[in-house]
Amino acid sequence: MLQQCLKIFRFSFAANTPSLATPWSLRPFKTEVSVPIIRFHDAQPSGQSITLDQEIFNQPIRRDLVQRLVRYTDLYDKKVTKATLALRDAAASGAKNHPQKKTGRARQGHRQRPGRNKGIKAHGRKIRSLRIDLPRKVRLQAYKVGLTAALIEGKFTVIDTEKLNEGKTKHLVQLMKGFESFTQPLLIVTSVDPDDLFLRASRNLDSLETCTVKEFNIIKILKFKSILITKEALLQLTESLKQRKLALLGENKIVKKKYSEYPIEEYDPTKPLDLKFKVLREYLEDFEKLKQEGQLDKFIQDMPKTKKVGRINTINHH
Amino acid sequence: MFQTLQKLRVMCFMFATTAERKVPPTPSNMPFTLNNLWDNPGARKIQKRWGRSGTRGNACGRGQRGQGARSGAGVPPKFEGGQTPLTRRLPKWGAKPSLEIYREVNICQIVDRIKQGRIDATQPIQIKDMLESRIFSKCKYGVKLLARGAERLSELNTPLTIEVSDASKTAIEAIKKAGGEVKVVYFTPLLLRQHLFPDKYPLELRPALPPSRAVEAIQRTEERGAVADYIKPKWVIEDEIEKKKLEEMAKLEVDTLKVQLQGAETVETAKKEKKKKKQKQQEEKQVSTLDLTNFKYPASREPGCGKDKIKQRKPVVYKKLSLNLD
Repeated sequence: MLQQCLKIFRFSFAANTPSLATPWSLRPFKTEVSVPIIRFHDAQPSGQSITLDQEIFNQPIRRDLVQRLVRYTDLYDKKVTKATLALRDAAASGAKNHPQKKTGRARQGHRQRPGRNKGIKAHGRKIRSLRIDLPRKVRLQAYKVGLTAALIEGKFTVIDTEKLNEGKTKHLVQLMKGFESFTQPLLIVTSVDPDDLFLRASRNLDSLETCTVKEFNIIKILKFKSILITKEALLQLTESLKQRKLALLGENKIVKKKYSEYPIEEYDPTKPLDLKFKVLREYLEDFEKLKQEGQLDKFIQDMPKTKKVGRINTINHH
Repeated sequence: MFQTLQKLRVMCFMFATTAERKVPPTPSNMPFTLNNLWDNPGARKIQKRWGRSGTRGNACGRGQRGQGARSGAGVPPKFEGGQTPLTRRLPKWGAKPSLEIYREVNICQIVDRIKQGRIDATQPIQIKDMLESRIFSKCKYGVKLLARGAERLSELNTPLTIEVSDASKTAIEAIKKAGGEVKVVYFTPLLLRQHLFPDKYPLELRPALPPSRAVEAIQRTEERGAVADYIKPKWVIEDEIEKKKLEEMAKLEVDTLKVQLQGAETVETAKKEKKKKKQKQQEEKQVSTLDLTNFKYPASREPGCGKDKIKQRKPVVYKKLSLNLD
């Protein structure tokens, strides 16, 4: 009875407005969300808008999954690089100090054993990696939860392009003032092929960071207070997450061809030879030189010959 | 309203049992930043470590001195201090069942995948399709079809044709009712691997001839109503020919005299052939006398006789491999 009352109150207290306090059984947004696209050089909205995919930007909010993903990505690149010396690394030989018996002393095996002065440390630190395991489906879901949470908090703004006419930081600084978030840390997400002039202009600035869709992380989602995404990057993001899900279901498999199905180029004597290795190209050049000069036959005659040992001459009949 | 609800929640929590207290936490409105993340309560427990307070301090639960207190300590569990252990006192006996068993696949699993669009029902369903749609993730020896969920075949429109290595009776009957067919195929582990991963085998392997034990298992499924497609050994073909003869003889109404006469004729012909063979052997013995017309003296084997001899070598013939790379 008590649990049933709590359930009813939980449902009725659900998200009329999208908030981070929605329970696990509901989605924060009731309908599809459409975001307006803003021009980069004006900081003003163009008339277009883009709808966001519900399976990526409208997932129930799970704070525990996000914590697990953040811990996973933190420890992914971390290692313990320092190690204590072991007995095999110690600067002493492995010989016994003195024989086992017939001396009045205690029995000892190694000069730098752990209990002794100047001895090594027993069971000390070792070089190891601190990676942990997390299922792939959990990683995908937590990434989507982070994107919905950022949407609810209002971090995202969508841009048409990041291209610039000149690669100057001065112009970029003036453009960023229009977004009113220049003092806060800011991130710009571009497509896989960003503009060279934009990269040149943005490299020297501290409060601005750029990254591509492949480097877009959950840590970057939570760290920065305002994020700008281009339209191409958004489309590439949705496609990559869709393909990740299909790969987990076992579809979208890369089928390799049989060896016989790869095409073999037939030999055309009319075309010149394209050889892969450098040594063979040098042989070709020498061959063509000798042909032009007319000294091919001489070269073949002057080549050292191998002796032919016949079987009949070596038999000993006696 | 919200405050009264919160009070109610706290009251319920106080009077709740331990099972009711393991409710997931209430969601909160704290912002999603790197310092505002936590896992569910009870997900992680602080580890009790050796050497820190209580029963785990000082000697760390190992007692005083001795073999058990050293690092890397202990003896294997079958060691009994030198006495012959139990595993060596008793004799070995028995045999174990083989580990090369078939994968079990139910009809409901196939029906689900067809509805999701992962399997094509118009074409025959092979073991390769089952693996790509992830009914199982590994298959080394074969697949057996079972009949859980056979009532769901009526939800589909098309009849099914399935190729497996074994099937049960109810499964075959259920598929035949819907108009389909079950086919039995023989795979060795190598041939199965070629079927599932063809890109790793540039040369096609020959199909295999099954041993007698496998043939008997295939014949049992044929009696249940399946269709078999495998290379048949000699004794199976001879058995089938004998069966056909007996059936034909039973159909024909033959007199006993005719049968005896036919049998007698065959016996006479056999005797005549034996006589002819004996006569030939006797003639050959008489004929094998000395004929000096075709006689040749062997060559003398003296030293120095082979100098002028022309020695011919056998021609070197390299084997030709038939690579079907067309």
